[in-house]
Amino acid sequence: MKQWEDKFKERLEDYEMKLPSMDQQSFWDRKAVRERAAKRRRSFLAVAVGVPAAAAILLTVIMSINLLNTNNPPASSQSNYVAQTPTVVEIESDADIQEDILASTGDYVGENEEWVEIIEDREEKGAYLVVEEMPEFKGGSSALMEYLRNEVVYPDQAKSDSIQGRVLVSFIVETDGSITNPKVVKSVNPLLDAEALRVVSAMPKWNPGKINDSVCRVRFTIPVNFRIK
Amino acid sequence: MRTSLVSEQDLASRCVLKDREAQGELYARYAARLYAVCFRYLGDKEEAQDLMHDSMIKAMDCIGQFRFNGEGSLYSWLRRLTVNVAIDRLREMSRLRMVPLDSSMDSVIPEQDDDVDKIPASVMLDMVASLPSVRRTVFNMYCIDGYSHKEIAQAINITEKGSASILAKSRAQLRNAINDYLKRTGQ
Repeated sequence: MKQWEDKFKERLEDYEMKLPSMDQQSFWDRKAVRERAAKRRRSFLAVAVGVPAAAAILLTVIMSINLLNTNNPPASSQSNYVAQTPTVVEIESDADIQEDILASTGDYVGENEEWVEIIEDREEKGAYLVVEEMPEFKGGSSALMEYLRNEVVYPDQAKSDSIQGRVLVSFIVETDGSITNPKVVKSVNPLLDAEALRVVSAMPKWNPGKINDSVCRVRFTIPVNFRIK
Repeated sequence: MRTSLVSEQDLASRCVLKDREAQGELYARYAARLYAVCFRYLGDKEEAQDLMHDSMIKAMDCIGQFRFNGEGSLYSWLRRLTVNVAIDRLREMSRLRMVPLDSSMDSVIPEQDDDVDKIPASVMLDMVASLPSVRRTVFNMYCIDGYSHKEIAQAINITEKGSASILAKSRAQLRNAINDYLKRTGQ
């Protein structure tokens, strides 16, 4: 190992040794949650083995309740969500999204490892990351924000479980502006991921990217932010 | 029990018996260091804290497997366990896909022996954390935690040659980061 690496190692280990104590409460809370979950799993197993009939009845009841729920026409459940509940899909301000879009296509190495891996993958397959004229959603980033705001539906289950976060979705803008190969680059939760992916896949055609005035394929990444107020 | 005076062996055996106080002392003594290890591997503070908790819990469950052999062996055991949990977690999150070989990093990068002394340790940790995950993992395992290329190759499912070349790129990237930092802070 080279000398600077030995020093690196020494300094890091020295630093590690001297770190102050960490607060224990969050650890004990987590341990308790784990133990309760394990206990619940064990007792559930015991009960399930003993009462198959009761379980079957319960299941039928639950399923019929679900059916009743899904019979609501989509329009009214949508307006319910907007008018009555306090939760909202919050899209960042213009400035935030602009910065994010710039950041996600630039040399932001190391900010997010999955993203970097995918970028290195893609380079082999002929989609550029940075070109002279970057692709653009028709109408610009404010129009993109508007589109996301209108199109995203906060998944009910995620809403009731208070799951929020920012999903990064990467895709290719083809030479004709169509959107292909959407991929979740930074995941938050399967429900949110799926919705983010759906919305990106449904985007209308973009203005394609250009090098020396000729169109080319470009890989682009955008954030879809789910925030509960 | 004056917990801070308990020897490593005593502490470990009390943890085997699930003594709450002993477990608390284990956490108090080692959590911060193990957190630093996790942060080195995962590169994200929240994930590192989660992982550290998980590996502490695992340690308390498996402490029966610890065999004392000298001062500091408890920490070494905990650290090995934590590194393994970190690598498993990285693999689970599929962040260890093979990075394609490229020769663009072959040029010589200027370096001076005492450069590293001029950088605060927390900044060094951040530099490691900001490497892309495959490079970060190989650098951590080889340069800090002393695994061989063979062991690294087995742990993360790549070839030994791949490990060596990824190490070279990680060194180059860190060297560049160090030089940039020194330039930015006018040194």
